[in-house]
Amino acid sequence: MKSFPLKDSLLVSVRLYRALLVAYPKKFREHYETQMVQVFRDSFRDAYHYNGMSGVIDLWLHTFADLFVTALIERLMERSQYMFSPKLISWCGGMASLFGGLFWMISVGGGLPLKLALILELCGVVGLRMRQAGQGSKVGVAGFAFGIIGTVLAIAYLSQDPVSGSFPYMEDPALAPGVLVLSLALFIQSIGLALLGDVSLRAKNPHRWRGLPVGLSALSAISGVMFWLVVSVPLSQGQFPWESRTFLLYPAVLWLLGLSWVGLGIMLMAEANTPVAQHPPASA
Amino acid sequence: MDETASGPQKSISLTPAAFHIMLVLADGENHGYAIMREVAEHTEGKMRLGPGSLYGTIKRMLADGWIEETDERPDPELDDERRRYYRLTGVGLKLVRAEAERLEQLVNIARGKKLLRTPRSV
Repeated sequence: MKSFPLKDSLLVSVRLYRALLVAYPKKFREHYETQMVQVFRDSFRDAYHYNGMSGVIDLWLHTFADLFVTALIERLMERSQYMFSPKLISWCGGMASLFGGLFWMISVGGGLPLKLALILELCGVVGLRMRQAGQGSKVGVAGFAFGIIGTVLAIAYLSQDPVSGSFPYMEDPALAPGVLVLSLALFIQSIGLALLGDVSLRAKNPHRWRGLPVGLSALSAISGVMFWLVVSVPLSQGQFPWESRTFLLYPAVLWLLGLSWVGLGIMLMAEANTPVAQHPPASA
Repeated sequence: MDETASGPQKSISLTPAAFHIMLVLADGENHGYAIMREVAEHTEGKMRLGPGSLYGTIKRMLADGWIEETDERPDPELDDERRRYYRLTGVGLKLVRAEAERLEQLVNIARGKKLLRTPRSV
């Protein structure tokens, strides 16, 4: 007596349940859809066998609640995994590098673009390291630390009261020694970039622009020297920096630096999917 | 995961669903629906795992290395070959023991404070 309605209602229920499984993330469905449908089918048979239609209604109410809560949890977990994935961070770091580079190119006037360029560089350094995620290389970790410390120091220097807003068009000779802090910061950053660049250069599956971080490191060191030469030296001699001949170097170096960061950004975005391979063992 | 392998009892707190699933699997390998039914039996119907909570928990336990899938079937002729069977790993067994001991300690404390009227027979 019960077999005919069971067959119909089982078929309809299983189809409906299978359709509702779309609420789960695709990966989860690919792994567990068959099993979940089977468990639902078994539960349905038992519920109908022991309690008839009231058992089926109870099963559906329970299943709806379970589906709503667990699909939400799985979706949130999937999203959080994606949000903190090295791939996404690397891509965002690439985007930040690209904009950081553009800000370098328009920062001849100093002020906010210069600070923004450095802040975006921070994200670029994070992105560069994340592209090497899972490498466990001490060189990479040291490079990351140097890169971050150098960049933060440069931002801190440019955020000080007498310097902020006036750099590099400063008139007070007392500010000349302070420029050394910026030069030192860029030098530390360049060490970090060189170490990160070393990891990129030794990768087994290298990108064709793999030399960029090392080139960028050289440019960062050059810009550190340039800031000292163009701003600090004339100031300490009682000259305005922009009146010095060496000031012509300033936009040229900023443009080169900007272009290199743009290049690094493009490289990071294009290669976000490809992890840099581990260093080969020394004995190999 | 190294953390679980080195000392699960130190750092991991099991969710109720995971603990109940592991208790079922402590008797040997089993498939999803049987696990679900046994959990309901153990808890006198107070814990009803739906397919979503069952496989969501199984997914995380597999990822953590507490359980593993097995190809062995108790009786291949009687069983649906599409079913997947799961069993505890060594780490999982240590973990469920540690959790059971932790709960036993709590029960003993509660008993010492006369919060439990009579010891329950299992």
